[in-house]
Amino acid sequence: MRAKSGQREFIRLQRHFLGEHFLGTPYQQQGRHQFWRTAARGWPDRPDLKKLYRRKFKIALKGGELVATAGSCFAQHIRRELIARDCAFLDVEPPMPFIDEATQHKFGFNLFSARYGNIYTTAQLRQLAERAFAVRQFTDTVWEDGGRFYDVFRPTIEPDGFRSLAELEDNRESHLWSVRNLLSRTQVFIFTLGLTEAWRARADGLVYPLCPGTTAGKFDPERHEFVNYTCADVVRDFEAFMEIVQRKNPDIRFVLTVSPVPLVATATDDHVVAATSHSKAILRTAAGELYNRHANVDYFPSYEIFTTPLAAARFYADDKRNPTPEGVSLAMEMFFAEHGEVTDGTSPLAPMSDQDKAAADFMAEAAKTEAICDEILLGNEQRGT
Amino acid sequence: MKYCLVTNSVGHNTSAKTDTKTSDRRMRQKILFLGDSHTAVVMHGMRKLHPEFQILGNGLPFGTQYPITFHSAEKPLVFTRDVVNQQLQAYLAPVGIEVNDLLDIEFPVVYCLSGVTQTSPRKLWVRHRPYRDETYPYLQHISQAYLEEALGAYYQHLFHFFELLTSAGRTPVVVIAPAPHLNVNKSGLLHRLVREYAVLRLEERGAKVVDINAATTNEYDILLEEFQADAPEDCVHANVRWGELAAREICTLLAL
Repeated sequence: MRAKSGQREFIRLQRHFLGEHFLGTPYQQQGRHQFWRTAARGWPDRPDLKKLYRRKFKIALKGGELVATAGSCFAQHIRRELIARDCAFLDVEPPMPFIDEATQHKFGFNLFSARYGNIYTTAQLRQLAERAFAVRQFTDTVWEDGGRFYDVFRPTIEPDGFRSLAELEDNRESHLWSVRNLLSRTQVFIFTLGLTEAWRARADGLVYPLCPGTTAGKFDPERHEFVNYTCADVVRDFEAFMEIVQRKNPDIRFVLTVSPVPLVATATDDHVVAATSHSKAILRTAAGELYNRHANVDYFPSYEIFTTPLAAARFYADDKRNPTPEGVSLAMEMFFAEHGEVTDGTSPLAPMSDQDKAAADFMAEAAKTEAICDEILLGNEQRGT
Repeated sequence: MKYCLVTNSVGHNTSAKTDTKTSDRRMRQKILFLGDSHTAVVMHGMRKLHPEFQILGNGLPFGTQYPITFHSAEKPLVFTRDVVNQQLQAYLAPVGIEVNDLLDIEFPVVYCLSGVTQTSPRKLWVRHRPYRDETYPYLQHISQAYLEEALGAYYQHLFHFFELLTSAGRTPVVVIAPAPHLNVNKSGLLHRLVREYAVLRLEERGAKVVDINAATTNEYDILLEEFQADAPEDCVHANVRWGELAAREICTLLAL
């Protein structure tokens, strides 16, 4: 630290005395973590990822600040870590007590801060706020199939659908009341950006969480259209969401992160690897833009932690898609360390302390219940190899 | 030498003289009452209708502590046959009835099943309701399917007990608890939905069900005042009139 400030002082004096004759570059003022060679030193066991995340604002995670989560399935891991670390996690639709966890997940409980299911796109997030605060109405919001009724906004929330339209409507009304409550109260909202690809209704732009026909409903090319959101779209929709929420909750702060989980399938003509790259690049750019534009938006680099070549894909499970508990634990270590939790000050990739091991063990246990990715329902597992 | 042990109807020793002969007592119709605190008035009703019957079990709590453990994939059944047998032995030994296994019981078994206002189920109803109540928008709506998951987990221990009996050809009679006295958060409607579920599942398991709620509640499914417990501070139990009605139904079902 002293060496670095000494170096900076030297450069400042050079610049002062030499003026236009100063031959240095701005890179001379950069830290070790800002050069690949030094950051990668120790690869693959201990690359320097210490300063990969530097908070924009402090979140009193242990000080009782209410934190809520939403987003793609990666957000479920964040929720688990927040709860495991005794943070004031806000769950406005908790489950009934005593029922086993697998059943709770089947009904969409204990996954996020409310039973909204996976929210993959900012368009979906904006739509949720618009519905909760009655900014916008949509038509054709129920699918009926074999006498069961499915909420098009949350088709997987009731595994066998609702028994009647009235039951669905009551449940939806209750859910939106809870979402209003959530968005009006939470002090920090962590959103995981998951996808840019989505399906929407041609009639009124209703954005579906899943392609119609995947779990319920029927796909109809006359009524449903594919959309692959641009960076401008993602930014616009998130800002619209922010505006709605901030009317009720002006002090809310947002933490954005990009899910490192690749697409399970693409509806474009591209290879799924290229489509993933395209999608994640847009989301990362959009997150960066939102970070730069708004003082109350922070960015947490989950995506980088998992995808950097310095991690050598070690934080992905054998399917090279699902994150490992070790990776999630590392990411959250970094997040918590920056928000005031005591750490040993070593590189996040340093050998784990007993406390870290205990946390990793917990995560391994928690990971036995895999994140519920509705998106996986698009999979082609039944097609054979 | 032959001894004659005389007990009163709840199985306690009594010095009161009785002119019932030993041989007559052996012939008396026995009924075993188990369950929760609602059993008391039903037993009272039965004694009033049939003073000649030998009422056993004293309405002692039986299995009522188990539902709170909520059977699930992660939590095994704890109200097992062994536990059932141990409890039955403890309840019946004082009145001179030896029971090694629940199937040794050849007289009717009546069980009073808790409703929504009893102690343990209250933990289920802190915030969830299978309906909307505009007065209390913070109450969280749950679907019928999710409600049934919860109730299935809640009642599974007792259902298991009834299955043990019915699978061996015994037919337990289950009395559904009385409705609540107050309609807080539409608790009458909640009680109705819960009992409808219980009746369905009990009948599926071969139990006979006594449900006199329809005849003893108002349009909000609240217990009519004439059937509410006499003590003003008791807003949970029914009175002896309710117990008599239930007892009559039991007798009809059992052809007593």
